[in-house]
Amino acid sequence: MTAQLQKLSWEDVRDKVKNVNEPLFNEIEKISPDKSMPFYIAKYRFGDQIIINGTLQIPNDKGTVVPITDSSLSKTVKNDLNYTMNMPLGIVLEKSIELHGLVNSRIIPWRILKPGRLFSLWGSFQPSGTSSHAASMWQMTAGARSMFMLSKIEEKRGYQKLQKALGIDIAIPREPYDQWHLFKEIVHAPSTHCEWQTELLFFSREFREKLDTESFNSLTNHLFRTAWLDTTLVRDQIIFDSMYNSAIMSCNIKSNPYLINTTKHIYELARNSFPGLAFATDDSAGPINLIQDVFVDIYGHLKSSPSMMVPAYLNDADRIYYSLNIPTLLSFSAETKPINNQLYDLSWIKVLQDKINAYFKKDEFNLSGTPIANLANSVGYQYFHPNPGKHNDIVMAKNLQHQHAILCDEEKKFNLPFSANSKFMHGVIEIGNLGNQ
Amino acid sequence: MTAELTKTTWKEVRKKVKQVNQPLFDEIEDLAPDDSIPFYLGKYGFGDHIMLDGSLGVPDDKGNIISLRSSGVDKTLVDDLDYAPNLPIGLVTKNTAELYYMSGEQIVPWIFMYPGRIFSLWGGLQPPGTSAHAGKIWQVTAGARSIFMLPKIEEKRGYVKLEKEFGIGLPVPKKIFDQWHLYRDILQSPGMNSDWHTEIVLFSRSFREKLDTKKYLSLKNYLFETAWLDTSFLRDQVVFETVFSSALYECNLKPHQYLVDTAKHIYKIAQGAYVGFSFADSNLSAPIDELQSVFNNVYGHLKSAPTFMQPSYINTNQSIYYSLNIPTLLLFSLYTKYVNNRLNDLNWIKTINTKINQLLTEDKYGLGNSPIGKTAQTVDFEYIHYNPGEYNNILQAKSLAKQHAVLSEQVKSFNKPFCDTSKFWQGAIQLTKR
Repeated sequence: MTAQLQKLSWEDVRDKVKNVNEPLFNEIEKISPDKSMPFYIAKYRFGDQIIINGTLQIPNDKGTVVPITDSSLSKTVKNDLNYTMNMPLGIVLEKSIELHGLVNSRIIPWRILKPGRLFSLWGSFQPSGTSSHAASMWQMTAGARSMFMLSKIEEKRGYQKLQKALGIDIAIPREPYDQWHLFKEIVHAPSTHCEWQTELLFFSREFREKLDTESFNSLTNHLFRTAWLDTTLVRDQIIFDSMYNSAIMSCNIKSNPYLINTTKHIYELARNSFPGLAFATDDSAGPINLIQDVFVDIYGHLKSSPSMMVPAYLNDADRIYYSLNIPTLLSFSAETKPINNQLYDLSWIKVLQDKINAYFKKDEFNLSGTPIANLANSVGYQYFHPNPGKHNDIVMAKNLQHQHAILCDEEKKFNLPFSANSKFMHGVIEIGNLGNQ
Repeated sequence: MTAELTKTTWKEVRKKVKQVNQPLFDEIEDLAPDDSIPFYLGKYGFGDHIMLDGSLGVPDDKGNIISLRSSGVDKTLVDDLDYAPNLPIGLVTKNTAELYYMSGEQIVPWIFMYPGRIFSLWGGLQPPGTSAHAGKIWQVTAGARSIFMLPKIEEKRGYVKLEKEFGIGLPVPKKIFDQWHLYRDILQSPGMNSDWHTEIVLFSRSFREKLDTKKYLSLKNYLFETAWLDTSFLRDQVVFETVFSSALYECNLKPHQYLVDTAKHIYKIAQGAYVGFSFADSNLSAPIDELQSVFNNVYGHLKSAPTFMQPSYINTNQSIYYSLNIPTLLLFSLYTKYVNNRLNDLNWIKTINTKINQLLTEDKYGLGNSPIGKTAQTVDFEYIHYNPGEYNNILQAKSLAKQHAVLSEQVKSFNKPFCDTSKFWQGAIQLTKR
């Protein structure tokens, strides 16, 4: 398939919206926009970039994804869709997209958007020049960008086979996040006949302008409420920072800044500020089944089953993971780099979390009933390493397999063991909703 | 003055609202709330807690401020005003109020509110149980909480005179922000008879409930817009943190984390996200004239002019300052044991800010027209110390007296020199918006 853009009316798209976001559908239905108001459906292939360095990318008539300013796009399309700092207001209709930062060659996962999720609300409500979200650091992909396979895929003979069967020529990925380039090439190869696509609905400039009129007041209010709720975490940041800070002070913790920063980031994942990583159980983040089949059937040379890690929020998954070997902290300073070995660091993080959790449970900030109170009461943490040695408080990574049906299924299906020795597993923290562990 | 909280109606408060916030007035006026919807007019003397440990401070029968959630508070008052996690939605109509919290023994100024500022929108618009902005950490004072005088006021004989004059026992402030207790006690003493107060209008529960009705949609959207704009910096935080961190990495700068965090905080002040300090040149943040007169005429023993520093957001009218000795950095308590030479620190902060400014001016991050990009283009940083020694790039504090008319006037009026040897000037950064 190729990427596509279709200009449509509300009548054409209403059922799709109803399927994924009924409250929004009801609001727009009340207004019943007439046929003259354009709506756009855009379809992107896995790995197509929807935002590159802060600039929206749109499929043109030939199915090529090009910058919104490109001459191959009509004036009408440009006028209808280029009205915010990044991308037009819209909603995910099918599969998913990932918004991430790219700074100094480092990927910073930021948001995973699934069907029904509105996007670009922040930009749409922001008066020009009052926000810094126009930054060139922003990137968006169709499907997950920060996904990778646990098994090692560095066998040259395997790449020769991929080249021969699929006609792709790509460097062997050295880091987990480099694998995405390879997956994209595989999925785009004509011979894989991949039908996986992300479908987005874009609201036009005219629609956005109507939001400022009286007849759209109720819809505007719905969108504001959605955006307000969606930004609760950033407003709560000061409370979380203060509470974390107090915990460090009260517990008289004298650890190095790397461990303090990393532990804080783990709590950020627990409160859904950022996505962690989860075992892929379906094709929502990308054509997982196709990629796994290609690696088993064509690449070969796998020593363990091709389990895929995909970005996920704790809200959406029972358990998510953070690996000390794949840091996703915002900071680039020396304080984000490990000083000791992962096993030692992992053990320290557990000590820190035990102390901090005990402090949180005392509730000195009087926050019971608020989302932050859940960090210690309804979220559990476990620590994994392939070879914990004398560290009794760290669980062997191979035990993870018994906790996830998908890993057992994959072992059976591919007749390959779970990849417990992967680089990812050398120092992993599991963040899980209690009751699910 | 004794605090007051009076139940009233839109008709009674509409003019006050109109004077300080015309767009809000227009929105409410369109709805013409009838007399069945109560509004409350609050008057709080300097230093009274408008918010006390996370809930509205209300005057009891004796005029003492107690929490709205204390036992014995009038039930109607509780019904009308206790509907949000902290304060009811309201508006400052006269003078100022400061929202802050205590981190250990450190005061962390958060928002300084001027006339026209709507407050408690965050809580008022938030569905119950979905935010952590509850609890007891938040405080709001009438007037500035983080206000202080530059000269030393530690002379015991001066305190004896103050006690005699005002009939109150006053401890000598040990820390600069402890001075506020002294000012509050002086101003609220019967002998002082100060009429200075902060005035607020509070919207009641029935008004808040009306916001969810069709008729009030336009007002509610206006409030959402206000709250949205008001929280822009918090949404930008991820960009700010990433850019700042990336810039340091690119420049291969590896200063102590405390200095990085301080440089970042100063940049946030430059962007208008947090308050710095300015020379008080009016009575908006406190009855400055009255306090100066007390210290000049009663306390005596001042070796320099009684210049007050008040919290201020950056603006084009006057420079604002940040002092390494009066840290308002949110996470300062992590670094309380950090000890270094202030001149050295100041020089590091200058190096960091200069590099960041350079990268932002080159627009490496595509932020030209954004608040971060505009900060680099429009804010000048100067580095100040009372004794810069060999550091030619650091300004001597005494030169400030010539830059500010208010300082020259004070020198003349009190016949005392500018206090350039204050602890505040042992490592300060001046931010000036062009």
